[in-house]
Amino acid sequence: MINKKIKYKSKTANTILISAIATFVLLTSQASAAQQGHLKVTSNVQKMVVVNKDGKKSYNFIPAAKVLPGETVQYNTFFENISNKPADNINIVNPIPEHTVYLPNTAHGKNTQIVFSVDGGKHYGKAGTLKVRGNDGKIYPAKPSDYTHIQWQYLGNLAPQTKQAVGFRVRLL
Amino acid sequence: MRSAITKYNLHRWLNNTCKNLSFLLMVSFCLLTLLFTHNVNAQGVAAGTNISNIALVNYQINNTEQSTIESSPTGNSSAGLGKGVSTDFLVDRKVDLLVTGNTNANVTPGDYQAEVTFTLQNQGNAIQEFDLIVDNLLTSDDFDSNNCNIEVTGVSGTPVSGVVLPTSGNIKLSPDQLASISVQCDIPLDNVGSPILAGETALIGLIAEVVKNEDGTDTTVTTGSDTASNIETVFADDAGEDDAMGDGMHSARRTYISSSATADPTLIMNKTIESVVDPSSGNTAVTGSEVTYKIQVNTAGVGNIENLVITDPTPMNMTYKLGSIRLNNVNQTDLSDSDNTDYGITNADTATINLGSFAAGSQYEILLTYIIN
Repeated sequence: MINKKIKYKSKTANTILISAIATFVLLTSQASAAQQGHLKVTSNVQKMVVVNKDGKKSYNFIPAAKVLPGETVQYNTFFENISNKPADNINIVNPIPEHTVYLPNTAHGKNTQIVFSVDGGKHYGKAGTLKVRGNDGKIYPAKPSDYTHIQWQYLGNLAPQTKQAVGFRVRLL
Repeated sequence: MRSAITKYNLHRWLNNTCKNLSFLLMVSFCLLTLLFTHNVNAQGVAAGTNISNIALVNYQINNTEQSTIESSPTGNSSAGLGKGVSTDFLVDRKVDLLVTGNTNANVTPGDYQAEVTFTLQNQGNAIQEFDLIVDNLLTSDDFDSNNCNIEVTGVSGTPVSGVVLPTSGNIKLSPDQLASISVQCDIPLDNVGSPILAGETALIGLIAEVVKNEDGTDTTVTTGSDTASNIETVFADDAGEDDAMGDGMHSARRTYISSSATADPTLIMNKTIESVVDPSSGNTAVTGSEVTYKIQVNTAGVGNIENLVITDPTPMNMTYKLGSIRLNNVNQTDLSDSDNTDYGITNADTATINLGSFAAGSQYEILLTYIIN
C-alpha cells in the first residue's frame, strides 16, 4: 500500500526517498564495516592573506572561515603511518575542488613526485607535458587552470609513526 | 574557452568515482552532491556555495595493496571509499557595487525634470537590494537643481522575482546585473536671485547603498568570529566620488550644463507730470505754478541691479520746491543724510536719489515738485 503510494509520488519525492535510503545504507555500512587502515589522513583548508610586516609583504595562513571570490586558499593533506610497518608506494590524489582554479607551481610535498590530470583523473602527467583539445578541435598545451586532479607519488617508504604532508593552492572563482 | 574535456567537470569526476561504488552508494553520493551545485558568476562563486574537497590515499604494506583511505578534517584511518569526510567551507557574501555616471544634460534655466543617467551594477556574489539616493546640493558647482526624482528604467537580463520596472523604489539585483537609472531634476530660473550664466553647471550625485539580502534581512558586516559553515558578509566596495571604501555604498556624479543664460535684469524709467497747480488753485502752467513730476523705475528679469542713482536736474525756468521729494510716498529730506536723497548737494541744482542695489523686479516711484519762474 505504501509502495503504491510512493510509486505515484512526484519525481522529486522519489529522488529524496532514494537519497534517504542510500544515505541510510551508507551510514549503516560505515558503522558495520569499519576497517582500520595503516595510515591516518587529515585534510585542512586555509586562506592565504597578505600581511605587511616591517614594510615587507608576506603571507599568513588562517582557517578558511571567511573566503570570498578571488581569494586564495591552500589545501594541506597530512598522512601519518599509525601502524608498526613501513608503508610503500603511497599515492595521494586530490581533485581540484569545483569553483576553484589551481594556481601554478603551488603543489608541494617533501620527497614526492607531482603529476597532474586534465581528464578527471584518468591520466596523469608532469606539468608542462599535458595537452587539451580546444573547441576548434586542435590540441593545445594544458594550462594550470585546466588541471582537474593532482597526484603525489611519495618516494620511498613512510616509516611507522611518522607523518608527511602535501598541499596545493587554488583561487576561488 | 576550452572544450569540456579540458575543464574539470564535477559530474564527470563523480561518474568516475561512483563507478567504484555500489549502486546505492553511487545513487546516494551523486544525487546528494548534485543538489549542491551552484553557478559561477562573473563576480565569482555565489555566496553560500559549499566548496568541498577530499583526498584519497593508496599505499602498500609489504608489497600488498591496501584499501584506499580518504581524508577527513580531523583525521581518518578507516579504510575504504566513503569512510572519509570532506573538508568544506561556505563561500561568504561579498558585497560590492559600482555606480557609473552615464549621460550629462544640457539645460536651459527653468527646464522641467531634466534627465541625467547612471548605471548600478551588483558586483557582489549574492542577490542584494539597493537604495538609491540623489544628492543635488553638492558643492564646487555653480548652481543647484531641485525637485529630483529617481527611476530605474531597466535591468540587464531577467529581473529578480518581484521586481517590476520601471520603479522609483529600491532595486534588487542579481550578481553581475546592471540597472539603468534615470535621475530627473528641475532646473531653476535663477541661482538664488542671481542669474545662471551659459556654461555654468550643477552637479548631481547618485549614491547606491546596499540595504537588504535576498531573504529580506538587513545587510550588515559580520562581526565576531568567523566559521567555515556560516555565510559571513564582507563589504568589498571601492570608494566612489562621494563615499568611502568598504562602506556598502558607491557613488558617481553627473552634470547639468546650462546652455543659455538666465534673462538679464532690465530697467525701464518713465517721467511724467503728475500735477500742475497754479497760484489760484487751478491747473494752468503760469508763473508760480507748482509742477509735480513722477519718475517711475520698473525693473524686471533675474539678478541684481547695483548702484542705481537717479538724478533730476532742475528744468530751465523752474525752481525746485524745497522738501518736495517723495520716494514711494515717503517724504525725503533735501540734506545729505541717511535717506540717500538730497537736492543740490551731491549734484548742483539737481535732485539726487540714490536707490543703491536691489534685486531685479523691484519698482520705485519718485515724486518731486518744481515751481515755474
